[in-house]
Amino acid sequence: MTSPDGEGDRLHDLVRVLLDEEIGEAKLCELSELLRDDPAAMRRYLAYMSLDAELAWECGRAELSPVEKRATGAREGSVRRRRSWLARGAVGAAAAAVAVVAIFILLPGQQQLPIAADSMLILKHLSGEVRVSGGDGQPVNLALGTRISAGATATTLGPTSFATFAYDDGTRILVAGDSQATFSGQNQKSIETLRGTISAAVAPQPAGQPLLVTTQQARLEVLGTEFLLAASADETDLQAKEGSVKLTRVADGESVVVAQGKRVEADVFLSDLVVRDAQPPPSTWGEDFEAGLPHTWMAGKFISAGLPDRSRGGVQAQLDKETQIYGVTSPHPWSKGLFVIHADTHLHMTYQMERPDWVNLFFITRTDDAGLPTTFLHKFSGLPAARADAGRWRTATIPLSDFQRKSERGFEDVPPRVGELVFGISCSAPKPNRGLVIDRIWVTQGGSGKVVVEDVE
Amino acid sequence: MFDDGLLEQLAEQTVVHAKRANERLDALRQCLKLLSSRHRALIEQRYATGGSVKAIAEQAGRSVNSVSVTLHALRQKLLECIEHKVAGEGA
Repeated sequence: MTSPDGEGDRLHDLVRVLLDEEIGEAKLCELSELLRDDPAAMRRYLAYMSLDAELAWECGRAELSPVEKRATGAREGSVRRRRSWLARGAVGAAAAAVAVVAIFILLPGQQQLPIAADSMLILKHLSGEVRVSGGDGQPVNLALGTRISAGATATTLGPTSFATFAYDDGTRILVAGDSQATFSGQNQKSIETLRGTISAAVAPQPAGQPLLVTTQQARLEVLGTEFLLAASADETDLQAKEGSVKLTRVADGESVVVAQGKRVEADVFLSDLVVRDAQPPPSTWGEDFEAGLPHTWMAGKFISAGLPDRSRGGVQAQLDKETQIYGVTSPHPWSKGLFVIHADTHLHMTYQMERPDWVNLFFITRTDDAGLPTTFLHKFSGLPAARADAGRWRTATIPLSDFQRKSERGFEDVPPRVGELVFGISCSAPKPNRGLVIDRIWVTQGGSGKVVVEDVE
Repeated sequence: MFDDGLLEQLAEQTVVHAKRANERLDALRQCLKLLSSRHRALIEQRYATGGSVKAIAEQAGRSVNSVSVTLHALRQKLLECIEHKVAGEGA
């Protein structure tokens, strides 16, 4: 890497100043000139930018570097990079994407790549499995900074996947969990989401041209506010975090205005549109399956025989064809969550295994630092599995502080943090089928702080 | 400042670079282990949350320029190492 000539030395010096100090306009111009028509210099420049991003990732810096901030126009503290349990591919993609972003730093006052005439959104962050197809249905090659055209559809797959997009006016849209959103409209922004969760911080829109969001049940008009929307085939759940949002039910045209701190649900049964206070997430949660397996559960088969006395319902682990693991999985309500974690939160589960083997318990949490979600996976694998326990109903109590958090190095002895929102729980056992059945699973605040497994009397 | 032609060149180079991002990250991890503990600590200080050359310089009683030059020499060394490893794997 020794510089062969004076120009090379100068390039290294300018890049050094760019990375470590405040580079002035004169030096920036000089750097631009050096890169012009010199592919080798450009390659070297991009190698440095990429290394800078990779080092930041590897050394655990949570915030964007001054270079990246300049590149992205990010405000101090407004953009955070995820670490933790990101998949390998996502780490590489993010580092590569910063290299893409690095191009922008050479464009003071201009700061964008040539864009298509109908370009309207820019991809700001992504995590997990995210797909974007253009209006023609063709997949869009994703990198941070990618411009998305009108008609594009973003799909996020899996509970921990998400993508954030920004319009040129600063409006930000988060698509999270198992979700799909189609962006359209030029002068008037429009988003259609048939399923999943979107969260939006909407910049003031021109008079008479509110941002329109449509779901299967409702149409939202937003002039400028922050809101959280969860949509499914059965229900649209809207919460206004700031400002207000007008919701109109498609089926009958009934409208309500949802003000800051309020929420409303529009369902297929045309229940009254009642605007309520948005409640903070609960500290407890549970499901006893007495009334059957709720349709929102992701995995498991309802059973009503062979259960403990007085129990009328339980759920049997089902084989996941992809992972070849038997599991029971709760709903994944990204926006509402299941419960919030306290220092003394305990998970309880009454269960039985016909052929005892390992059982893993998982839960997923999220935080919303600086408006950008971070998700974490936690695991507990310390339940005893002795042959003598075959067919016995037992109740396990596990403090959440005994769960391990997943990072890129695997599961580590890092407990979940107080205040994180749990939005999914899963219990799994290996193949062949071990006959895992859960009669009841619940979460309490308060407990001994110890793992306890007792026979059910 | 830039014309469209130069922007296109930059974009093309970036795409080529991005395709090898995972390989590079693997190589970086190996190359960091080859640094002396003192130099690795300097890199970690610089790239830890809130790390800045100015803060490192103040803490070490050195000038910003001196710390920056050392850091950049380490970056050059890491780039050399990464390129060597990536080229080796690709061969």
